[in-house]
Amino acid sequence: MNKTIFQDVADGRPMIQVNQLKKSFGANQVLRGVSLEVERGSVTSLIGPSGSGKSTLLRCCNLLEIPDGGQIRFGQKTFDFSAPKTTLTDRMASAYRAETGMVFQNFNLFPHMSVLENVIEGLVTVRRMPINHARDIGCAQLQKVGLTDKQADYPARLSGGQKQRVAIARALAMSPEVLLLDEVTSSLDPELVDEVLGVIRQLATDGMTMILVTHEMSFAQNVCDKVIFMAEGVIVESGSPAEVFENSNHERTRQFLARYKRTNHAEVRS
Amino acid sequence: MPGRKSIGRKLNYEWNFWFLWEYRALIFIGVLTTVGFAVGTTILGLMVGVVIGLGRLLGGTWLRLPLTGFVELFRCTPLLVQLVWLYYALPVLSGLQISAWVAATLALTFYASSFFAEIFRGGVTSIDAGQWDGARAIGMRRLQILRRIILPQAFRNMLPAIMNQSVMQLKNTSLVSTVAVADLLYQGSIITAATYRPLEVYTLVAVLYFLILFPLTRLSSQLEKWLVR
Repeated sequence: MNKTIFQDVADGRPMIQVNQLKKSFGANQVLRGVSLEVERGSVTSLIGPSGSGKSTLLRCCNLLEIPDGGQIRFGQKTFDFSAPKTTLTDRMASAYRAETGMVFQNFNLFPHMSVLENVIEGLVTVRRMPINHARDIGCAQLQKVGLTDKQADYPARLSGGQKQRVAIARALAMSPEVLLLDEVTSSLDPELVDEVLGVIRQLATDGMTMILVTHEMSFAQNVCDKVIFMAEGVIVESGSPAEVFENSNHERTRQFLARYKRTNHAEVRS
Repeated sequence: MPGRKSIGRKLNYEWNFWFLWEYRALIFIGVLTTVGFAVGTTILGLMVGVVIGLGRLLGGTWLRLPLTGFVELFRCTPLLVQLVWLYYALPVLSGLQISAWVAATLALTFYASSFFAEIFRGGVTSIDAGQWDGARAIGMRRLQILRRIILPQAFRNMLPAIMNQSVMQLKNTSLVSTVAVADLLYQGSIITAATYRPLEVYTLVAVLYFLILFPLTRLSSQLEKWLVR
C-alpha cells in the first residue's frame, strides 16, 4: 500500500507537526496561530470550552477544512498554507485524507449501505481493492470493535454506540497512520459511552496514534499521553495529564476544569 | 323567437360520439405523437437537467452564472412563448430554418431541463453535510462521493418531484399544437374543423390525456410508498 506520506522520518522529528495554523470563517477567526507536535504512537487530547477551535483544528489536520495560514507536516509531507497561492487539488487532499482516519460526533455512516459495505467503501472505491480482499479486512475490523454479528444490518438498526464503533471500523479499514476523533461520545446516551471509550482505549494500547477532541475529562486524564487546553483559537497550555489536570498554572484552565468537576458532582448527586 | 330566455335555457344538444370512430387513425397518431414527445423530451430534459445541475453544484463561478441564467430564463417565461419564439423568432435572428418538430423538441427539452436541474440540485443539497464529511474522510473524491454516497440517497428524495414534473411535461406537450405538430390536441382541432362537433372531440381528447396520465400518477404514488419503507 502507498504509504509514502508517512515514511518514518529518520531525523527523529515528531510524526505530526502543526505550525502557526490559522483559520477563519468569514470575519470569525477560529484558529489564531496554533502549533503542536504529535509523536508516533501517542494519544493527544484537545480540551477546552465550545467555540475554542478544537474541532476546527482537528478538521484542519484532516484537510476537511483548508487552513488560511501556517504549515502542517505529516511524516515527510508538508503542506504550507502561508504561501501566497496555495494550490491544493481535490486529488492531493483526497489522497492525504485516505491515510488519516477520522471519526465524527454524528457518526456520518452511509444509511443506504450495510455495516460491512460502510466499512469497506473506502477500500473498494478509493483503494480499488478486490471485493473479497476488502471483505476480509472489513470483517477483521468489525471483529476488533465487537460487531461481527451486525455486518449485514443497516445503520438505522444500530444503537448509537454500535454506530460509532462501525464508524471507527470504517476509519481503521483504511489502515490510517493517525486517527482523529471529534467528540465521538458527545451524541451518545450515557450508558453507551463506555463501549466506545473501551474501543479507543484498546487502540491506544495497540499503539495507534490518536488525536481526540473530548469532553470526557477522566478519559483524557487516564488514557492520554498529552493534554492540550485550547481557548479562543489559541493553545493556552499543553502537557502531561498530571501537569494540566492537577498542577495547572493557568487561571483559564483551572476555571474550565473546576466547572467540569462541579457539573460532574452535580450529576452524581441528582 | 317566442319564449326565448337568455339565462337558464336548457341546451338541447344531442351527444354523439360514434362519428369519432372514423377518425381513429388520426387520433391514434395524435396519441403516439403526444406520448412520444413527452417521453423523448422528458428523457432529454432529465439528461440536460442533470448536466446543468452538476455544473451548478461543482463548477466555478464562470460556469455557474450562465447555467443559472439559462435555468431562470426557461423557468420564468411561459413555455408557449418559448415555443413560439424558437419557431418564429430564432430563424429570423439566426437565418437558420428549423422545423416545427425541432422547435417543439428544443422548447420542451429546455423547459423541462430547467426544472429538472433545480430538482437535482435541491435533492443533492438536501443530503446532510455529514455524509460529505464521512466520505471525504476515507479519501473519496468529489465525483465518487456524488455517485456512491449522495446520489443514491438524493434520488429517493427527488423521485416524487421528478414524477410530478414528468406528468406536467406530458400535459405541456399539448402546446406544440400551436406550431402545427400533429399531437393529440392538434388532431382534435383538425377533427373539429371537419365535423363541427367540438364537444365530443375535446371530451375524447381530455379522456385520452387522463387515461394516459392516471396510471402514471398511481404508479408514482406506489413508488413513493415503496421508497418510504
